[in-house]
Amino acid sequence: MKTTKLLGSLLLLFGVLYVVIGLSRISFNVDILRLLPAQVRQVKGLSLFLKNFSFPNELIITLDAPDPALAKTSTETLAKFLRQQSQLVKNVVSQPPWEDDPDSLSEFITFLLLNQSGEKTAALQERLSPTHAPLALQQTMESLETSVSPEEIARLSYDPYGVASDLADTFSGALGGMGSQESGFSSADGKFHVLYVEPLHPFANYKQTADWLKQMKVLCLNLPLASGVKLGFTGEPAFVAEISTGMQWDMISSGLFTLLIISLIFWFCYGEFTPLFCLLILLQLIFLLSLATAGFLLNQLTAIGAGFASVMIGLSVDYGYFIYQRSRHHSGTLRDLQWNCLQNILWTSSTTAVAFFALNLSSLPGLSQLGTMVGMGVCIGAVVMIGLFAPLAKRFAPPSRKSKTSRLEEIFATQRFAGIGECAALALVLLLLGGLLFKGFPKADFSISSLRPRESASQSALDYLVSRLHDDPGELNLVVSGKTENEVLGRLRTTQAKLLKDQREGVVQSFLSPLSLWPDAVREEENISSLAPLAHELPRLQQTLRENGFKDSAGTLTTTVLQRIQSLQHQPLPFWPANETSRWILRRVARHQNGNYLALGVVEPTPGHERELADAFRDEGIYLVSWNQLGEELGRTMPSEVLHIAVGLLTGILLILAIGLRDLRALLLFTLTTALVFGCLAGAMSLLGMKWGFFNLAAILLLLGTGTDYSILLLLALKRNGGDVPGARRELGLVIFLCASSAAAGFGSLAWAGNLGLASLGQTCALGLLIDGIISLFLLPRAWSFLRKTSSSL
Amino acid sequence: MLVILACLKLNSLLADSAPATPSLSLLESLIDRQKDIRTVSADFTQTRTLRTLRYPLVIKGRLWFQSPDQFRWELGIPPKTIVIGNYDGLTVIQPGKKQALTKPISTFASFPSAGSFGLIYLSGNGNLEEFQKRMQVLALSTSGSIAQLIMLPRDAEAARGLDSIRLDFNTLTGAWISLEIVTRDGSSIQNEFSNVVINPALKEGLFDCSLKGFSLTHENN
Repeated sequence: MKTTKLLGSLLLLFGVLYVVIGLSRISFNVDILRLLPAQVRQVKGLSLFLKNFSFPNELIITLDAPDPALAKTSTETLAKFLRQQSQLVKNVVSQPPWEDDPDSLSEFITFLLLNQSGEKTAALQERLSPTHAPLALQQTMESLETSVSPEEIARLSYDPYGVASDLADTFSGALGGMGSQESGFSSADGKFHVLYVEPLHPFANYKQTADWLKQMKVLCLNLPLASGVKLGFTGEPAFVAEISTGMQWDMISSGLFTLLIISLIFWFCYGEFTPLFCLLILLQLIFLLSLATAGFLLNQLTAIGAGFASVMIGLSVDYGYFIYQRSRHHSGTLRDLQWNCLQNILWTSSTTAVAFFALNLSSLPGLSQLGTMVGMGVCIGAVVMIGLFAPLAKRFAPPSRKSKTSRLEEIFATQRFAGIGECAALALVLLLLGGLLFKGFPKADFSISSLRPRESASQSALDYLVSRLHDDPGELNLVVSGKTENEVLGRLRTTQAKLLKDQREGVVQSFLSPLSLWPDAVREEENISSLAPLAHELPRLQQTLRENGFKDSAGTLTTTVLQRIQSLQHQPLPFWPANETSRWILRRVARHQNGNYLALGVVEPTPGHERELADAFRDEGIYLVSWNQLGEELGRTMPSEVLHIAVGLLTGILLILAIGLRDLRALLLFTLTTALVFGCLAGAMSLLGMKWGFFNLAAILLLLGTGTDYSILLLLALKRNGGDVPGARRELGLVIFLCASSAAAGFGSLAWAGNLGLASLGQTCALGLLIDGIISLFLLPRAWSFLRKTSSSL
Repeated sequence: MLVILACLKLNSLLADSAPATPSLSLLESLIDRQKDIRTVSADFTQTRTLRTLRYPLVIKGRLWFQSPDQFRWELGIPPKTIVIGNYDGLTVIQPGKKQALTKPISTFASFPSAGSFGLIYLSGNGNLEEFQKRMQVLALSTSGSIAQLIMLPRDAEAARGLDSIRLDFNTLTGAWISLEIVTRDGSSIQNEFSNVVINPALKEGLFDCSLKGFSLTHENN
């Protein structure tokens, strides 16, 4: 006895530890690309783009004011205030770093000089030669006297030798300008400003992110800024906090809603509290065990995976219903009851789990994760229900035989109920098929918006930011990756040549290539050997400046650049600039770490040629991507993929049924029922204005895996009892009702999920399961009788 | 050119300030006077004092203006740079180099800036509201019959790198005396006006561009 108690205590302790450790490992992945097939080119390219050019620790605060001056002063006030929050904030950037420190640009100018063509370097050498230097300064002086361009006056007064004059195109072309607006700090009208805020410490998990963001919002929103000034919060931390907490809420709320519906159904059927209480406790245990197991097996939970809780509860409770129903009529030992239930549950839970595990055949990782988690949850559910609920059910089963019949069992057994149900089911089918006939198939929506949160303040702020800073949503991002700098360089050259050709042919309107900002070690070496000796001539160059009316400060840039080039003579190449200004300029253009080199450009296609252009760039490591193109590519590939899996799954089911039923008529009825269910589902979706998307396409697979159980069970019962329709209804009516309603509640609770893809999957599955349950329960037996009579008369 | 800018700035300024303040009445009277202006011709001396130069660069020039938006500005005698413009855009001509550049007014970021050219919309028919949207008054002071107005464009890009724009004008006649643009690094460009003639008869074709034989570049927005 003591040993048993000790074993029980140890098992309990192990269970608690398992749950605690497993749950502590759970983290959320808010990247919607993690929900999509990784082998799709657009997904690959966009993943590379987001992985390398997004900033997980950078909060973007947008500031909108009715007046440019007010926007500027408010931005300065806010930036100053945030810099004082040293317990929360490490850094605040509210204007291009070089505006406060123009000298810091010299490093980047050096980098550009080293990578310019040999011809330009030769021209610079000549300009700085003893013969030409005075002439160059005289020309500069004349331009300073007569120029009407403020930029030219500013540039020439600090670069009289024109060291950086050949780089103007690179600056304005490749970087899109150096002003606040072009650098992503303010809109053209000056009324909209952007601040980039870095937290004091990197975030360890989404809870830290959410807490930090909450504190930042409180601080910012309580700051007394002028009236009319509006703040917005976006960027990675805002998305992580918003989506993660949304996912957590989705998981908890849909799970609780499902439990509530299950409780109501159970109470309505049996009117008993104690077994219901036990069932609810065990369902929560199943949920915790499943989630803990997910913590051990999966890296991160995606928005779709988070929807597993309600689905799994809705399916696992079926075993509880079954066990409780059996326990009410069972008079043998507990072991007999468990064995009896195991024989039935093993079959149904296995087929359900297999159907969900089959979602792993889909290339949608989000869906695969949902399938894995529900499949796992269903197996855990079956074990927990047989192991723990069966003893409780037997203990709490009513002692009197009289009360052993459920309130609903007798209703399901009456002819009147069957007749009304058949008429109602027929009317429903006619309505839905009529809807399908008149309104057609539901429309498809494979736009990326269907994967995003239903309502997102961060997304709204980001959309507004993009619209104010004039990014063109039709633009394609050029992502070029490689294992070495040289590999990327080669690919950039190929891409540039191709883009120039496309531009000539009218496919491309314009493009910004990162080629001019990508280092070429060979060219750098040549330019260093050409320009480094000029550092020895700096005294002469300074003297020439003085002689031609310039102060020594006019030569600062020339001196800094030439000395830096000289210092690079014995350094490993290629040279990457690394000061704050250089990093800020390059952060949206290039990434360089060992084994991971990426360059980013922008291509503006001629309208109507977007797809053609995106498809044309298929060489290794070169991607031309956009969210719009991603939607289009998935729209082309996903339906056929789902169709292939569905056909495979249906074939498998038919084969199993052919072996199990060994009845052509039953097989025909099963096929017709399944077809009718999908036809009615399509009609219902059309009537309700629902659309096919990435995730509710998977409803087809889930309905094939779970919904078909109802018709299979009924066909098996009809075959077993020699075609006794009332008998089959009496035996299975309540079970199908309970299973269909609880599973529909589980899926239906996702209809309000924050993620639109998950919500659409929940709505479609709930609808399909209800239709399946109704058709299986009321029309399938009638069709069976009809076919039997027809074949007998024949 | 910068005189035109000054006009533009001034009009902006007038629009910027609240009509109730006493100093604004000076500006209001100035803008009222400008409403009678149909044409202007003036000489100017421009002094560019740049931080990195050992001595200021001084150059003389002439300007002509015709309401509502036509202007011609010549820098240097004979002109080294000519700017002819109107509401739609401007052409910068360098006769010595036989080069010309056309650009929309909105691309003239910073000083002389898109914001500055707002005056073109206002000269001769000053619009206080429009003006107020464009300029921010930093200070306004008087000394005898001369008033000095210090201002900045409200447009962030136009104001980039600028410390202030200073306009001196005669409070009795409304005539402009000088315009100085000061940058953040301490450099400045000052224009002193002389021989200002209001409503003269202007030569026909003064605002036309004849660019035959010139290398022409177009700059888009």
